[in-house]
Amino acid sequence: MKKILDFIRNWKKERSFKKRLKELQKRDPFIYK
Amino acid sequence: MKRTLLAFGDSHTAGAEILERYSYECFDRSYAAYVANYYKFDYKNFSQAGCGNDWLIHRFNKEIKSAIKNKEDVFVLFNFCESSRMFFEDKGDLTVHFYPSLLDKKYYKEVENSFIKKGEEDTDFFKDLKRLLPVYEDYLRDNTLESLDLKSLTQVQYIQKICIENNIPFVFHSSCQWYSGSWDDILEQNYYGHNKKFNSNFSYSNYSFWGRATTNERWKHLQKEHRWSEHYPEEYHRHYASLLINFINNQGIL
Repeated sequence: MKKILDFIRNWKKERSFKKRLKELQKRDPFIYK
Repeated sequence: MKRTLLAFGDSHTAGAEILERYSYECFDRSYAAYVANYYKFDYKNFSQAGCGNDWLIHRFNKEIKSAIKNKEDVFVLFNFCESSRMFFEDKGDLTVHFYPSLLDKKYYKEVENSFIKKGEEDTDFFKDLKRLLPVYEDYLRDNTLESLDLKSLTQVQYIQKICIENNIPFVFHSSCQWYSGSWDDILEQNYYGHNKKFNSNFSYSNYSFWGRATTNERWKHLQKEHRWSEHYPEEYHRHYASLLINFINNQGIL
């Protein structure tokens, strides 16, 4: 049970970070190839 | 003694893409150079493509200490950048500057391939980039957008304080958008496009370098032109310089 809860918690954390990262990439579209 | 304009900023202030990709000659044709020419000031540009406010504060401290010590007459033109950018080790011109796109897997692969194509995969610069990228990811994980913006606002206040304490005239502006948080302690007369009402929905301000270029009808035609990294030609730099000159004259800063 604990493992499942940890998994869900991590998944939520990861999802939230990905969303924040997308926002940051939109705010700063700088690319340097 | 002739006054010197000290310009700090990212790739926009560096004039990236005006001439060619990595040319320092772009410094002499960027909007900062046009502002210096207008007032007949000497001119030094400490901008760096992809850098963030932390790096600029680092450079500012070094340059301003030297100017104060040598009793130089200076004018500071400071372009504040996106708050999520960061550097971790100062290696001069070979410092790696981190920005959010580097955490996009597809874009990172393109960057990696370009190093391989140039035979530069064994350079210290690329090794540093690979080594420090997870550190940058952790940095972004540990900070909310609000905390990053708050840090930037504190940095604006810091530069303002140093300039006021040393009687150095200054003008601030931004390359991207504004920061969320309180702008109450930031002088409206010295910040081009000072904005106390931050819009939490993403939108570029029509005052920032990038914002005006992407939102103003007059520059729509540039959106269709091929540009290697979303920067703007000299024509736009001249225009942005004229906006800053009008602001400086209207506010009686000089």
